[in-house]
Amino acid sequence: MSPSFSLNYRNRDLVLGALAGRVKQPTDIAQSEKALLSVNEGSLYFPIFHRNVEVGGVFIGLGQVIVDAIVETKRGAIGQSREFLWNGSLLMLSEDGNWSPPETIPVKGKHLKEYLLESVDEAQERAQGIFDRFFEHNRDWFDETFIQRRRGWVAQIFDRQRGKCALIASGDRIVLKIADWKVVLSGNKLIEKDGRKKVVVAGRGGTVIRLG
Amino acid sequence: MFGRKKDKEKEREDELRDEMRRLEEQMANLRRRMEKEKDYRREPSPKSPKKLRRAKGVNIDLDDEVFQEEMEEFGRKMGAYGVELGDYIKTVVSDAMRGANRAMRSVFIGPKGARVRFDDNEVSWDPEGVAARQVPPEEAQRLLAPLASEERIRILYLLADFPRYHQDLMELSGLKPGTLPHHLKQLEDAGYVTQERVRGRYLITIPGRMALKLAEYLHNQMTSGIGEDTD
Repeated sequence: MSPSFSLNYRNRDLVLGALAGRVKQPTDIAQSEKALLSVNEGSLYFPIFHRNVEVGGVFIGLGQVIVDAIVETKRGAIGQSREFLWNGSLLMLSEDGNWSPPETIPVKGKHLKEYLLESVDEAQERAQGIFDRFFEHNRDWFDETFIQRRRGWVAQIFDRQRGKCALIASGDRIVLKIADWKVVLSGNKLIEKDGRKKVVVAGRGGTVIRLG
Repeated sequence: MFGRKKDKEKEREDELRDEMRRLEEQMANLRRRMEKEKDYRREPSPKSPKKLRRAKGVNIDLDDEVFQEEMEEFGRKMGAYGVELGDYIKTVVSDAMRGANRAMRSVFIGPKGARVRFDDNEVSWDPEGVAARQVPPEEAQRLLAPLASEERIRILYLLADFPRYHQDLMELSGLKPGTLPHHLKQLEDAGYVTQERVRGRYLITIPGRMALKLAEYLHNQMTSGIGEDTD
């Protein structure tokens, strides 16, 4: 894997582009073995560039997250698969060269009003706010966790109902926080915390520890 | 001239002697520390309740004075854990003795639970709780009904080997496209099978494997002649 991907907020290597348009059709924007992220048609799309290469984007609209927090053990599978609809905004960053931008169509005033926006400038301002907040809040974590591994993708959702949700996925690895549901999954190991319930699964041997 | 040289040599000798003394002191300290560590390592550590549970099992006579002394000593060493183990044994005994009006002889605590031996009989106890033994009939039906089907048992066996896609299951089970989803849903509702939504594979769950084992157990018991009228 080439180490070309070096996001660095402080050096401002990442730049938010201008509004590209509306997503033309429901699109799966990122997928790993255990997670799938999609955006619905009509969502507004703002590309994110890293040294002039598109590596992700900010979406304002709706979409879906599917997560398979399931691990296989000798004694059988454990965990659960969940699906969430998000309504708000999504910031998505992928490894350099692995980002396929969604197909877009032009935006008109009536489309902006669907998202309570008056103008393109206002939409751009909101997207810039999402972009800035993401790097401001996650600066250290982002530098250490994501850049060093240089694999997979990271997404942060601001859902109106659930608040801030975070998802990092790479192959069969997932770090996820959606409201009360927190999952760390790596190969055959799963740590899941669902509200007060906590489940830990370790190894193919099928050790299952349930707490709470 | 010579006198000055001699003074310098003497100074140097004193310095070397001091240095030697310091080094010897350091060596002695080091030796003392090493001895201490050795003693520390020699001291046997108390077995944790986890280790006890993992052990093959022990036969305990609760009335035995030596055992009671050992338990007290263990409790002192382990602090809170000792108390926990004591409570554990009490729970085992009280659960196992529920409804039994007989003299208990000994309790066997093993990795998978406990067994209490009476003069004329033996009662088992499992850590999941005694209440689980009495299954409400409707719950039993929910758990057992999905197993009352040749097709579903076949599906469980196929999934016990590998996680499989819908298409693979259809080909291997020989079930029709309209029938397979119905059986899979029944198994999913019972919690015996789960489906990954991203890749679409079906997997057998831990209860699923237990259900298969239950079917195998019943089969083995029946075929070995247990329950048949031998007269």
